[in-house]
Amino acid sequence: MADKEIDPIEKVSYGKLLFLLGGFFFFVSLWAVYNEVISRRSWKDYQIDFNQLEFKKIYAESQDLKKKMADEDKARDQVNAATPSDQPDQISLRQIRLNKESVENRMDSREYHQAEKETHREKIKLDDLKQNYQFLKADQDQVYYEWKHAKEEGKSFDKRMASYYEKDGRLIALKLQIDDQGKRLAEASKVISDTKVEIKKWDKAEEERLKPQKILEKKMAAIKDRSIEIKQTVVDDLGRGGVVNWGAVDRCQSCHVAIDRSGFEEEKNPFKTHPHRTEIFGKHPVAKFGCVTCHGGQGRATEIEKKPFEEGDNAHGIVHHWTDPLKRGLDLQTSCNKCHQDQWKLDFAPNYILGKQFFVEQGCIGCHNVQGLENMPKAGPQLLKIKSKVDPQWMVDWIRNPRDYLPHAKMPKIPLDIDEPGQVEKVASYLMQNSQSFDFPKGKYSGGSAERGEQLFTTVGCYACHNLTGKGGEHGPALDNIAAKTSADWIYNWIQDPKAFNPTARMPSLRLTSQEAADITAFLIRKGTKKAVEEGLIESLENPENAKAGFLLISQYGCYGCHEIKGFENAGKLSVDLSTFGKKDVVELDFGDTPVPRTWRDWAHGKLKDPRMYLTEKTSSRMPNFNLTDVEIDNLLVFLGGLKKEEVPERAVPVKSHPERVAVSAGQFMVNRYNCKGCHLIEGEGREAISQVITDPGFLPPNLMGIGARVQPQWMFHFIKDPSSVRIRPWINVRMPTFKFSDEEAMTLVRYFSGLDKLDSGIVTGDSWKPHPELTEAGSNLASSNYFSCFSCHVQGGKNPAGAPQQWAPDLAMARQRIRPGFIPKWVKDPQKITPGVNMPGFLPDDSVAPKDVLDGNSQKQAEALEQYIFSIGH
Amino acid sequence: MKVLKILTLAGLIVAGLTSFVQAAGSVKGKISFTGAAPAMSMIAKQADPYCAKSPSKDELVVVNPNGTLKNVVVRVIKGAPAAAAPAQPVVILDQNGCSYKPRVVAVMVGQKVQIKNSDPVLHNVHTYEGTATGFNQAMFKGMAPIEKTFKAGATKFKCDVHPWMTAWIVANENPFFAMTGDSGDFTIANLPAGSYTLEAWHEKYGPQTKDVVVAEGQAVDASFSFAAK
Repeated sequence: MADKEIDPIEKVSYGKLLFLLGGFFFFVSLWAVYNEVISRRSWKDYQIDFNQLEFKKIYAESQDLKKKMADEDKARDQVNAATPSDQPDQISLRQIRLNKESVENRMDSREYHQAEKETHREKIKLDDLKQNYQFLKADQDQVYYEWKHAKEEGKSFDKRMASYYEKDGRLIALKLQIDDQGKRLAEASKVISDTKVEIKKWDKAEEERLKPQKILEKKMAAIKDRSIEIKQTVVDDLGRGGVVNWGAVDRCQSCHVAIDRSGFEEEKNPFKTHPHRTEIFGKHPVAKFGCVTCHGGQGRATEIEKKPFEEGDNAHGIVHHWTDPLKRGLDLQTSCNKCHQDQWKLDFAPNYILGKQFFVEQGCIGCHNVQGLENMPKAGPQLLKIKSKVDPQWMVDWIRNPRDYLPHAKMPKIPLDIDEPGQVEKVASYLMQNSQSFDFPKGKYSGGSAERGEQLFTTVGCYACHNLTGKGGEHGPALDNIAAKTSADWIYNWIQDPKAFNPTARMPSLRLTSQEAADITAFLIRKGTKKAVEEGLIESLENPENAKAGFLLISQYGCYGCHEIKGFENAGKLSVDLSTFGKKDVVELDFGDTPVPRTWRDWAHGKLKDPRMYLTEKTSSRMPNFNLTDVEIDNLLVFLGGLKKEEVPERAVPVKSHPERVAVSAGQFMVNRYNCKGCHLIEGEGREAISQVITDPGFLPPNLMGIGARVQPQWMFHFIKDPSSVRIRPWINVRMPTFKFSDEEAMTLVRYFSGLDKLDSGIVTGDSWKPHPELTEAGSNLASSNYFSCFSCHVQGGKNPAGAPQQWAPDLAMARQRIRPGFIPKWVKDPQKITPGVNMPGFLPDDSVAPKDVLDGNSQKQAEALEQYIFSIGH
Repeated sequence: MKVLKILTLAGLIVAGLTSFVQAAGSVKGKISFTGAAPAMSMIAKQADPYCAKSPSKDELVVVNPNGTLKNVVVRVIKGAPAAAAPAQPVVILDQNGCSYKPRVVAVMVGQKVQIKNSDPVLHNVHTYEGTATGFNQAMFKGMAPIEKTFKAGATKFKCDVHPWMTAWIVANENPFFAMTGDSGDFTIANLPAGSYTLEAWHEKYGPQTKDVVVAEGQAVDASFSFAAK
């Protein structure tokens, strides 16, 4: 060691530097640990809080349970004091334990010890006997062998044979002894075995009684063992629709711990159960859809710097430049458009659906394209034969301000005359001069009875769509001032066959006879009065120069967006495409000189409230003011806010992933468009309009809940195509109209109703039904007045029941052509399950109410027998 | 053995009740009716030959000869002690002669009502809670009675086969209720001292409420008056 080498090159000491660096790294490590474990982890506190909350909840539950058990036991003790019971479920826990103890005490008694000793003794005796038996048996086996062996070798074997039989005798005697001894043992040990059985019984009773408590204790223990961890959902294919498709990752459940657990409905956020959890998560499992997909927010973030929903709330995305902050209130429904654009009914997004319907129905779609809604029908009527329909004065007044004539008119005041007086006349002039003639195929009106007309107007169902003197629906125009608008000849022709005048008319035919049409015309033509024609108006309308100017105005103001007008067959949409309007950044919106707050929502709200509010000297707008209410605007904003053209995987789009729902959604659109709910109850809604004039529920058009499960698809198809082919309820005056649906449209409705009841619409007929004479006879007996008296209400092969028509029900002879085989057994059991509110009562919910003397009281068999019988009627 | 059990149970209940009564008061009253009593017209039952054999009057409004109103249910809707009520007997609602007998029944929530059909014809029991259907069960000839319990409030019974048939079940959350009969009087006994809200309900004239204070061992008067409409 003496010649230890000294570093030849290094002369400087790094000690200080290394010390400083070491210190620096040490503190950085400390900070990192602090930051990782404490400062950035407020979600941990939430989980801890939640665990405490849940623990307390279960603890309280267990206390309640204890108390409840104590109360029950008290009651049990009281009853037992009077009449002692030894049934484990009728005595208190204390008593169970006492019983067990007293049985256990028995084990210390002299009697028990005596029994033990005795048992021991008898057991030894028994064992001895058994052993003797075994030995003797072995001896016997040996003798047997020797006997047979001697026999084979030709030796004498008599002795051995005798010995064998002698042993056999002894064996039998021994066996008897053993049996006897066994009995003695059992007798001696009876006290012991009885005691054991009893101890077991009380043990089990105690265990059973404590089971609920044990379950709660286990739960509490599980909470204590629970680790605090980030809970993350990764949904690869549901991107955020941004420039880069990252896929959705969210950690919301790290704080919203109970979002997918029941039992926390009443808690405050973040510990609350998701509202309507079963319904919403049933179709949108969190594991597959995540949270951010619908709610927005910054999925990966878990921090809230100050207060929730204020700047700095990272987790909810309330930070500068985060484009998709948490959606709250109605805004949440904007997300539904991502996947549900093709659907027209969503139970949990009513405002979105109303907004979308409004957009289509009010004609917004006439000027603004939205991808996916290109093929929607025009909102207003065709104007190709308008000259034969309306009075010239009425037409000019109407265009000036439709709401002077109809306060609820869909058509807004077009700012024609506001922009330049006289423009309305020019538009009217074009329409009149370019109108085809209509030759009134049903002839001219030649008088009718207004009184009968009124009667008919009320009974056949006009009120389901039209409003008159404050009564009725608002699907079609109110008719209070109809005489000002049109002529008796036109009404007379129109109501007989609306499609003859306008092939795209929504109004169906009620199959009125010419007499009925004349009567209704007589009634309606008295509603309202014609206005005097303004001086010079007729000349102005006939002036070709005006028509020329009108053509330009129509193209500028976009009348063709809502109406079919000659010369505008191929015109495109007038205004901007709104397919991505919901994505528009504030900088893309022109706020003009207004002080409106610079947000998308404020801009859009302002634009809808007053379309010209943002105009400046340099800009112009032709959008009419629709005089929308705030509710209508809110609904529209929900729809418009969702227009982002986001890419979503097919699995998330119901109409793609579940094609049968395409039919349902197309059907929902038709049901709205043709106002089926004006008369029928469908999907839990409807019949309000018709109920205003038909107050007796027995005369209302039928409730169609469950109709898809009830009738054969092809029957429904033919009925929808031609409702006059059969009258199911002839006592009802309201007529099911003939809509002249195409096969495609009728099929859509059939698929819709079948789809609602989760059935397909393939052809099903009663022809495949096989008669079963024995069941048919039993069914006939059940249907008779001996039992169910079906014909107290149902028409029987044309024979009406005795009571008042309000109580009548369809002719059962029609069933085989009309009802799906297999339906009647379900129906007679409990019709309420299929059609809630129906008058038909449940006959066979279970065996308990089934007649005992038919088909062994088997309710299922009886229900099947009824079908057999009903399908046999009239065949 | 069983008899003994029942006797002891009955003994216990009586003992419980008497200890109650000592400290309890009661509410007594009369339901008077002002204005012209609506005529009780005969019901047209000809539609069903069997029903036509038992003619009956429409009992929607029954005014007693002493000017009081029958079938009014008076019940404590607020302030009732939370103590458990003794078990209530099963009440029978019979469909007899194509009428419900009785027409109005007052029960406790959870108390069993046995619904039976004594007629040899089909009836159905279609109940309404407001306008929503509760249940709708056919009651055919000779069918075994069914037992049901009811939610708090008034449930209407209708027979769709015989539309004139109407009955009401008024269920109360506590055992403190009474119904007027031919005298128009009612008594709600065994009410512990305290203040209560009473409701008097008639199927046509609807509910009226009144606050009362019951003192120990006293009978408080709480009469109601319904007027013709």
